[in-house]
Amino acid sequence: MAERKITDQLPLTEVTFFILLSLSSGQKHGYVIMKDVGSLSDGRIRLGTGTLYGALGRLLDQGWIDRVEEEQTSGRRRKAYVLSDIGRRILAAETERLRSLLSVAQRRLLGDLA
Amino acid sequence: MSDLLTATEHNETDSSIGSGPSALERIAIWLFAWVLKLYPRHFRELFAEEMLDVFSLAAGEASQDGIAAVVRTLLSELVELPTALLLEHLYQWRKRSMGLLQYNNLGEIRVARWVARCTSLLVGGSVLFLFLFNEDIIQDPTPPTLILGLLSLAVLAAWRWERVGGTLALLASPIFFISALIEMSSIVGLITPTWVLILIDAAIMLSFVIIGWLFVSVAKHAEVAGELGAEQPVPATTRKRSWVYWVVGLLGLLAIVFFVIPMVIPVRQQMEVTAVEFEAISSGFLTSRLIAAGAVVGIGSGNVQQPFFSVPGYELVVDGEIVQAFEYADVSLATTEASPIDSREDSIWNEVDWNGAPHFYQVRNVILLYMGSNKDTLATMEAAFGPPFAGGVTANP
Repeated sequence: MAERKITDQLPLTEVTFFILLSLSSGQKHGYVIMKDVGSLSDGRIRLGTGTLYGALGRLLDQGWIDRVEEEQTSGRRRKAYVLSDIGRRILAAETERLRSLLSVAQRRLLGDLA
Repeated sequence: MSDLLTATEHNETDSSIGSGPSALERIAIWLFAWVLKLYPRHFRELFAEEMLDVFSLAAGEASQDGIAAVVRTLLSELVELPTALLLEHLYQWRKRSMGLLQYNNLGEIRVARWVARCTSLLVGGSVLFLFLFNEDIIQDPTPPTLILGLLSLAVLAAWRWERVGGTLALLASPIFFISALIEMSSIVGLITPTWVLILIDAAIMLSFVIIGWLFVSVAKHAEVAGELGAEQPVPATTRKRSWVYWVVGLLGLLAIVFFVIPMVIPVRQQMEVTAVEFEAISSGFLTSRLIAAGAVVGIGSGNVQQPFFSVPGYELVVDGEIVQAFEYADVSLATTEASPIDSREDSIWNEVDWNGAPHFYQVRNVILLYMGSNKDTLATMEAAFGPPFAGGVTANP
């Protein structure tokens, strides 16, 4: 990926954020990502395969994730996805951005209530 | 997360070891595999196998909840399909334009160029050919026919100037459609435009949009291919497959050219002629012309009969003056009945007791008769239908 500033990539779309978040705990196959995103978003985001692989394709192009081979218990190999260094940094930056927003909002709301 | 992974692997194991997918699952997977062919080639090469794998797992899991769940899984994929397809095609196109996909597509561009050229020759050429041998269009061109002629010229000019000709065709196509709708509404007057006529005009527009789009796209891709150079060979399998798609595309376009266009234009003309063969439609057509000429128009109280016309007529009220309209099955019958009037035969001019100075006008298959001398009405009639072919006096001079 070209060395663009991390903050220039933000904010992320919800789908991108949840996919990166899903991969933050380790490499995953597409189906597991799909289920995990549904679980992380409390069922709010239900990814279809078209949307999922469209997003994965863009993340691969941007270098935020990598594609690796994953061996199954059956001996069959299939593709899985793993967060790259830059992807991890972007996820961290987005999380920090969201945390900062939340913090400001909480201070204001709590201040107004006080 | 590990439970999800375990669940997935368990599911997969169930599918592979158990009784296998049900008939419904197999149908859903087969449908999904077919749908995957609609994605761009590069995307398919990268993800199709995985997507099918993922869908199979999802369908397998859904099947445990019954048939409805499998159907729901397939439907949810189909619902998001159009947008996903559009986005992927645009994204892959943009990537190719930026030179990110490192494969050579010069062969495809060459084929696309010739598909565009042959189609433009067949579509544009056939339209111009029909126009050249159609007296009605040459003598009385309407805005849609003029734009259609321009479209045909544009796609033919795109042989030499791909981007300009293609862009012109893309821009003029919707204008043609809109003008055709406007013309249609003026022809049918108070009658609602038929959906068939709208579909026909849409088909014409779509044909030119496809050709224009193809030319612009070819120009764009040729530009990028020139930057990439030809040093990267095309994989043999890719080349073979792309040729299949181009051949299918070409056959589709040829089908449009040979079946749609030849049917469309004569049918359209026929429908316009047919439209004026009915009283309501004809009166609407006449009314719209008169209104365009600045008159206040209404429909008269009833039918009228004249001894020298073989058909009954009806009345139009033009700025308070009565104009009679006699409608024939076709133009030749109207012309035959107009002939003795035009040649001022005594039987008509001297044996009829005129209420006022008669003025005869012929509009296609309709003969109009105005008996009176109101200058404003005469001017309006002339503005709407041209000068009278006979009349102006009460008797044969």
